[in-house]
Amino acid sequence: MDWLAQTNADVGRIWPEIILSVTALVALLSDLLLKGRDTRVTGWVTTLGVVFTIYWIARSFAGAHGGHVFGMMLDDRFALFFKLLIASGLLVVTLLSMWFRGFDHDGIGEYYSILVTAAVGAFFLVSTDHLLLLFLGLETLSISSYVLAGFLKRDIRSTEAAVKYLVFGVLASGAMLFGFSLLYGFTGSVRLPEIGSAVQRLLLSGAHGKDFHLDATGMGVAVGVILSLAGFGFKVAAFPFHFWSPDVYEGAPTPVTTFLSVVSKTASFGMILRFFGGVAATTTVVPDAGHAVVGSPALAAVLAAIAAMTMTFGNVAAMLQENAKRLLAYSSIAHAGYMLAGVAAFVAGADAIDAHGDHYNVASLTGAHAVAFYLAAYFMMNLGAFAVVTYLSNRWGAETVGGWAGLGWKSPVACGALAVFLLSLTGIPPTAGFVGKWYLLQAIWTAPALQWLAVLLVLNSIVSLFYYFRMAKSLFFKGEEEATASPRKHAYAFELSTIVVALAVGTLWFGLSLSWLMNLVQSLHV
Amino acid sequence: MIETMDSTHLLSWITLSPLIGMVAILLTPRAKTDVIKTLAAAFTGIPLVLAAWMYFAKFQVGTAGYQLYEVFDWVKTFHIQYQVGVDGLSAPLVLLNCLLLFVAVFSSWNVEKGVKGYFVLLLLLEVGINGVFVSLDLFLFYVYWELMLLPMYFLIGIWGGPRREYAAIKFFLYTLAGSVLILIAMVAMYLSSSDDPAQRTFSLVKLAQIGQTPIGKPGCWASLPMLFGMTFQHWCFLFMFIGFAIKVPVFPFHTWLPDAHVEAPTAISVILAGILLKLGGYGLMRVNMTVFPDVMWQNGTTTVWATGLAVLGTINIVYGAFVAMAQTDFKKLVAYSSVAHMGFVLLGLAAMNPQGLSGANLTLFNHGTSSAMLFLLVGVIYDRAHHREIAKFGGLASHMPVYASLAFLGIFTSLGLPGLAGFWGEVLALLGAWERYPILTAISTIGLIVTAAFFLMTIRRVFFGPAQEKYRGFPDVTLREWTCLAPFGALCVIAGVFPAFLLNWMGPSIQSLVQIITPK
Repeated sequence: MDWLAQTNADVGRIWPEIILSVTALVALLSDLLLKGRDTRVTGWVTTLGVVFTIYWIARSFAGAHGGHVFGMMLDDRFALFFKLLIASGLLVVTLLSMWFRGFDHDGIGEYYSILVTAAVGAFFLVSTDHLLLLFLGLETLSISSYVLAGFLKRDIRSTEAAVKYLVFGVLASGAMLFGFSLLYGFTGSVRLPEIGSAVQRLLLSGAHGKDFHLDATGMGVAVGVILSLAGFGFKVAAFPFHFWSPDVYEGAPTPVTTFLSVVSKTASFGMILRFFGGVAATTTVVPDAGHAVVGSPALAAVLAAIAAMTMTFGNVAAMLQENAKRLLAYSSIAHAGYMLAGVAAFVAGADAIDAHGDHYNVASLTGAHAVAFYLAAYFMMNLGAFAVVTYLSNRWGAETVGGWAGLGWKSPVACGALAVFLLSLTGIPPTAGFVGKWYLLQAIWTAPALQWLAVLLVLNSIVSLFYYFRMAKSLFFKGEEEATASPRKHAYAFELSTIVVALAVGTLWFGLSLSWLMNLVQSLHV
Repeated sequence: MIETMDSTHLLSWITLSPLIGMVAILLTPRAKTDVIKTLAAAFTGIPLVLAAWMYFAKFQVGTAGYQLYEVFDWVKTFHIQYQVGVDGLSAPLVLLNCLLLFVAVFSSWNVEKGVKGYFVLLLLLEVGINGVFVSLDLFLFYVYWELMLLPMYFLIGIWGGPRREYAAIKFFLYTLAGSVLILIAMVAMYLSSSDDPAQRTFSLVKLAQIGQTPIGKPGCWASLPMLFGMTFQHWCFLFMFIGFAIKVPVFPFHTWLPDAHVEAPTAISVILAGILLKLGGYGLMRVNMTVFPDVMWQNGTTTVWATGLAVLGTINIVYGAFVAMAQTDFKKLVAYSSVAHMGFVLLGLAAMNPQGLSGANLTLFNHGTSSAMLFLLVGVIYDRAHHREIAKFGGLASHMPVYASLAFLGIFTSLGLPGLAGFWGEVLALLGAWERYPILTAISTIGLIVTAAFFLMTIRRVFFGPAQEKYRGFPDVTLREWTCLAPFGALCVIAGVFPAFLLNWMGPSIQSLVQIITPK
């Protein structure tokens, strides 16, 4: 195939990215033509573009060939699945932004354009196995996010959030980039699979993955991986790289907080799975044993430790919060911990016993599948929870748990839906969150030496119940007459209720009729 | 073992029909409270009629296996099935649950706050409880098990007494803590059911077959990791046991119960004592004893685990009775007497012989009727006097003779007077336990005496003595209260005089359970 035909074919495979980039430009242009007068038109234009992107992603699933595009991107179902989640999240965030009351008084013309640009970065992030493009995608996402966090120009907390996010973000990016350069230096490649084989040779050369040598080169690679991990940890707000998140989540406009906690996190987990799928889980056949040794126990142990600390810290800190957005910020730290536990299980591989009764690792995608499923569930329940927060702050001007007293009786639909999201976040059936947690548990339980993490995960679920249901308690246990908040006009109550109900139905639907999502997730290959 | 599929889907209708009522109520405007209450009565009435039909007409008395069996694939990749069926252990409890919920609707007729939400949650609760009794797939079992949590939390927390928030979150946290242990055990059982991922199963029927196969024979547990010196079966047994023990409640996991009972509205107390506690005992039989029989019985003798269960049962009986005696609040007294009664269930289960298991199952059913009646009776007097202090009452028998006689019936059933329902369960449980644990059984009889003592003292303080002036104007039992109390009063007498309508149904399933645990 000559290069022209190749280019043509490749362009045909990145239509979602092209459509979304054009949407960003059109949104900018629309704002320019309208001179910032009616941002709602820009919002609808963006919505249209995003819906078209989603449609295009959905129809691309059948044709994904799993190979490279332009030598740098991958066209596989894994990337498409994450793009679908990102684009759907972007759609909800766009709608929330249009109906977010806090934006009514500030000119937010270029907001939509930046929002879409962030998503374009996220698209590249989840569909590459090339470290350079990975970094570019991550920076496109991050830099747009810094701007978005500061969009409430008159609110000092919003500005503080943006600066804080920027400072920590730059630091993390620097560390990660240094890690990448070490990886390149010691392995001679910027491609994840090639790095993976090199790492395997260097670190895990012993049979059964037990006795690995750690010479100077191996040390360099290990430092590279750990530094990269710092960058990833920052993006998903994993302990101890979480410091930015509560302040940023609280200060940023609620739709942006939603974007950060759902869309940005989804993209980052896509990248993490891709990275560790390349670096750690490459299959090597050990000649004398005759079976494949997969996974890296050492790396799995590091990830498991981070996961354990992240979930425990997030849950304990969330118990002390009064502001609903801050509470959800800590709760999403905890959820990042649950998903990192799934990543640890993925990296560890699965335990199996051979004919001689020896334990050995087998390739296990269950961990990756569980994380993907959990992300889909998290997508719905967390978006839903943030949509209800937006609703309540629009309608009643209350953002604290105490300020919500008795509102359950005044806004029964939104608050009833919140009960569903809280159930799901706690991991109680019949919701998507429960299925996700159960899937994660199963993956962790089968991974070698990670059973303790499974037990810790369910213990954390009990702790989380306490603060999630403090919200429900405030909304419903106080009588209607105890409600101190007064209703506001122009709250977009109907529009927001529609979103909330749709997400609640989705949360229940994927908790009960889970075959479709389960099959989709299991068809993914990292 | 399993009959053919039930094409009428009777059990699914019993379980899921309240959902239709839920939707109907949700679509009714908030102000039309009468319509909402009528709908609630109708959609708890339908399952009751269906359950009665199931119990007396469709159920084949004299067979041990699961009946009215339904199955279809839910999640194929993980072999999760929608699998339901009843046997002699679950059928009476389904009937009891439907009856309790139906009565609960009438006893809640005076609810004023959030009527719509109240009855929606009540119907959801019925779905969850019935679902646990009929599911034969562990995953489905767990989904239903957790489905009960949320409605109960809100029903106590919103419509309860002054300390309702504390009681509600305590109930929720305790139960969830138990549930997650069940979840871990469930995942472990699933993964150990076969080395081949394609052969794994959640089906309780298949898991029971695997668990009953001796270790080492083909078809037993696939991988059996030892942890801290305990085998896989023991760990799963322990986790499941704690999960169920919290529900029963077994000492020392019982402390949520008095709080929940005291704060819950009358109808919810009735459901809580009448049926929710029974889920624990049922779970112990259905999962622990059926799937892990050799934990409690090995080499032809009881293990330390079985003895432990008997000890816990004895503690429940004696401790529950003594603590009940110390109560000044009428409702709390009844709540602690439930702890004592559940001790007989544990003792009967630990005996693992036909008498003991019959006693345990009879106690499950009969305590459902007698404690429901007692909580309703406490509700009647609380509605009038607005307090429950035993010491402040006195001479009520002269003002409210009908109420007093109904109360005597409930109390005498509860203290195990021969001829009334409560007697059979206790005497059979003790008879069965005597064969295995004579000393513990002897200690347990102390509880029996103390129970009789505090109930008789309560009768004396509340109903006899000088008639007090401030209670003079109290109306006797109203028609609505009569309708609530009558079915339980009747059952207390019928099950006492004619226990065969329970024993004949349960018998074969109990025999088969005995065979499983203590094979000859």
